[in-house]
Amino acid sequence: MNRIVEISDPARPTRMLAERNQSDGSYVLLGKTARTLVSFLLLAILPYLVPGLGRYRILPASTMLGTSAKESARESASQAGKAELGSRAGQTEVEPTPGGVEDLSGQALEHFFRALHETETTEAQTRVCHYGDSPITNDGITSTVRRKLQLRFGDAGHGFVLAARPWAWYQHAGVYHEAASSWNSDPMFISKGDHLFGLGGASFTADSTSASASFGTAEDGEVGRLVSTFDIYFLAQPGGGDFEIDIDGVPQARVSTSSESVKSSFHEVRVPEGPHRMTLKPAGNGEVRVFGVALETSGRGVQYDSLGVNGAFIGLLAHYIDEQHWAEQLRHRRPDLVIIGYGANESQFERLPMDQYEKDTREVIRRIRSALPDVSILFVGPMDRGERGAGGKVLTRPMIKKLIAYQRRLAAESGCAFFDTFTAMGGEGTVAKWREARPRLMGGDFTHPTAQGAEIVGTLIYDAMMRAYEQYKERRQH
Amino acid sequence: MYFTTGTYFVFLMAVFFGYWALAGRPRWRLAFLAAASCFFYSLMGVRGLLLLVAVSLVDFTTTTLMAGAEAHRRRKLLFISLAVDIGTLCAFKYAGFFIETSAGALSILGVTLPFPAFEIVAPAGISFFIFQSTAYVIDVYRKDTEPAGSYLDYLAFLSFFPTIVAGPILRARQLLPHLRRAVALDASSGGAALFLIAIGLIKKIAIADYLSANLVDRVFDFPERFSSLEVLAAIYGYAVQIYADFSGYSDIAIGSAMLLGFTLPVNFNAPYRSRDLPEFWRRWHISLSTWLRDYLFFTIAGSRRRNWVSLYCGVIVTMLIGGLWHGASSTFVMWGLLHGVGLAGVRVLDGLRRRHGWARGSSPWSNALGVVITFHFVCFTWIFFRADTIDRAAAVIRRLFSLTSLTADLSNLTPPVALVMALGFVAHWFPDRLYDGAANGFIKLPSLAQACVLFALAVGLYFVASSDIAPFIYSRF
Repeated sequence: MNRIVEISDPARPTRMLAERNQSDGSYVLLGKTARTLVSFLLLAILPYLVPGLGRYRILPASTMLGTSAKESARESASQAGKAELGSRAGQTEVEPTPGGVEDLSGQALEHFFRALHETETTEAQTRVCHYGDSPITNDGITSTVRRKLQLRFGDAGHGFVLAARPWAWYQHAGVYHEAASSWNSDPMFISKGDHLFGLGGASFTADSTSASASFGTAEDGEVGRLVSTFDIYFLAQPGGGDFEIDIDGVPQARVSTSSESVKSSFHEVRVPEGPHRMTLKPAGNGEVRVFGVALETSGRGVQYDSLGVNGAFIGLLAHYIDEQHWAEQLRHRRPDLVIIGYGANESQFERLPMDQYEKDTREVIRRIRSALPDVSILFVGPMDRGERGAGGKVLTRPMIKKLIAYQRRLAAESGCAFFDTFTAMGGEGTVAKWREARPRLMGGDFTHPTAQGAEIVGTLIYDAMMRAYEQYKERRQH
Repeated sequence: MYFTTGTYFVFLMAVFFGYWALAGRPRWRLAFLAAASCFFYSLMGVRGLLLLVAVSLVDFTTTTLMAGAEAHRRRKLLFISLAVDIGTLCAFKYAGFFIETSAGALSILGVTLPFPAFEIVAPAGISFFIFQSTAYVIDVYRKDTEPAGSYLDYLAFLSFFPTIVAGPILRARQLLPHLRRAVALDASSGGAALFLIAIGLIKKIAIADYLSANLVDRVFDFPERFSSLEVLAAIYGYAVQIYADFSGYSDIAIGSAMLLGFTLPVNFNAPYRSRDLPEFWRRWHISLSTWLRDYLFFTIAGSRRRNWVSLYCGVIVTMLIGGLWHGASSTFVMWGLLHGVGLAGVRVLDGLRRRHGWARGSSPWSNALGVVITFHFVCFTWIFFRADTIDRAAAVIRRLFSLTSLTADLSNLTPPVALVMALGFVAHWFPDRLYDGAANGFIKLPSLAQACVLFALAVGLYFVASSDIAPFIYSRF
């Protein structure tokens, strides 16, 4: 790969000149190199003249004079998808609202906004559960929404954190969280175990005293600095062991997880409001199964749970988490708003069975409403997700727009609100632009935003929520 | 206009035919070359072109005035030129960094000053043409080279389009005297030039961009999502990527210049075959390492008698500045520092070896061990070079040595990626005759067959391209 230097010889042009004794370049213009270049140019132009050779267009004219065959085929497929979607989605037509929350009923977020208004005007709290896939697991997007809501309405505590880390990149901003690696983690996925995954979609078991998990207030930052209650979510089960709790290094309690039947259980540890750290560890007398801990304060404000599961899709909440168990978890948590933000994983299947997708989405809505009849539900559509196309161009996955159209229609038909993240980000081609931006906004997998990109997406969601909330307040006044 | 775009090849052909049509009229040919180069550079931003013209005007004027001037006056003129060159580079590339670093240092001491937010986007290639112009001024001052005959000559030299964006950093004597001389191009040189351009494109598109898009970027963006082995593979991948990217650029630059009858110096020579760090720097980005040696290290450490303080400090400071040359970032400073310390360490070992009469191992095993150690040291430093921040580099290193992620999982290292990486390494040991045979085979083909080969290659690269005209890594510097 490096030997070409040997062809280069500093004295060569001079020597050649001496041999040729030519002072003009006409011989070069008629020479072999020139003929090669002209032939190459003619070959490169040929695909523009012969329609059947369209896919071999490599000159810059491919972007100025037309598209390559790959791009044409892709466009056709996209149009066909739109046509199919139009015929299937014809029951309810919803006008997109770029950058805003779409709510055909006008009542979808009523419960949430009422709670938010009470929080703003009294000492009440508002709780949000944000379910999502891998972009949510590192709390990048959700921490932005949480921080902004808490700065405006008050910090009622960090909210729910998984007991340990099912994925190395699982992390939450604005909270202290450490867990030993000896916890056996079981995140929600197809046909795994007993389908009891807690509020956050993952359960953790341990029977050794070497397993511990610590939760506490953040040491820096604008939010998450106070706590007055650690609410532990665990599974009571026959033969369950005990776990010990200490607060700020002082032993506080020993809790048994033994029970005659398997059921969701909760244990609240109250502390004087302030910065604290709680450590939980199995006592060693049997298996302990813990889901997570919610950090709360007693004052007014917002709690915003980031509940991302790696590789998650809507079907998991519809079929692979036990309905009764999830309902128990949701009822205990009492969110005023449940956000459903899936789509990235579904988008990689170009032949996703949309009938099943629709059924699953409706089932998730039914399950949430069955557990919490008054709760508001907001669908947050998938972000732009890219893949490589012709010439290495980064293109939006065709399924993204299809999924958005389905989510928009299903939300409208079910009395839920919808936020089109894809359009708010900039629509088609955003992922390529975000990838090239400095600092980078999108990772090299064209799926996960960087910290800066997540901040933007979180801000878009927050801004859309707040615009809708201001409209709610205006309606209230009238 | 990047070298990998169709637009560049349309431009190159236009320049080729225009240039050789004017071959018999040196002044017109030179004016055409300068105009084409300025046009090429202006497509990357008119601001950069204006800066280049300004710097070239100052340096041309000072060096012209140096001719026949007294030593005292020559020193003054040198000082003016260096102040303008280095001042321009600092203002455009380092002002924000220095202000930010100073603010950080003062804040540690408890002093908070209202420093303004300062961000200037440096024109592409500024580091290259400033170093090239500075070298010219110093050479003229040292009487190592003759001043340019006219401003047109100097502008054509400094703005020479194959090298303006990312080198090789030319010395005046390598190009300036040849600009007005009669030029020539035979079928053999023309074929070799086209072959070299083709090799450069393969390196850039099929190797560098492919590895970048399919492994390296993903891992460096989110190291915590990958296993230790995958992180290690990505570091190796980056070593291959940056070599293929930069040497691919250099090949296209050298090939483009050859089409116009100029021979540029080689910039890479199988760097990962190096048995120690000094050898690596004799094989890697040769035009920069020799520049740093000739104009910085010799100035700091002296060219002859050196005590150990000046020697080791000279090496470390030279490499620190070499790191900073790549960009105003603490990651580049760390990269330069590591190389400086590494080079100083090798010199210490050499000194001990000489003092105690230890023989340097020359067996195949000791050579292989040297290659492995040097390669892994260089790979470690690449982590800082590639990472956007020190924190990100630390995250990569943490992940690399994390016991929790020390699994055999290599699911993100697909067979094609592994194959391309392997090809990138193995190519370092390809026998010379293999390359020469391929080059000569291409050169001997009839022109239509050459065109067909090039067209087939272009179409093939278009279809395997993993990114949409990714900029060359070094075009950022």
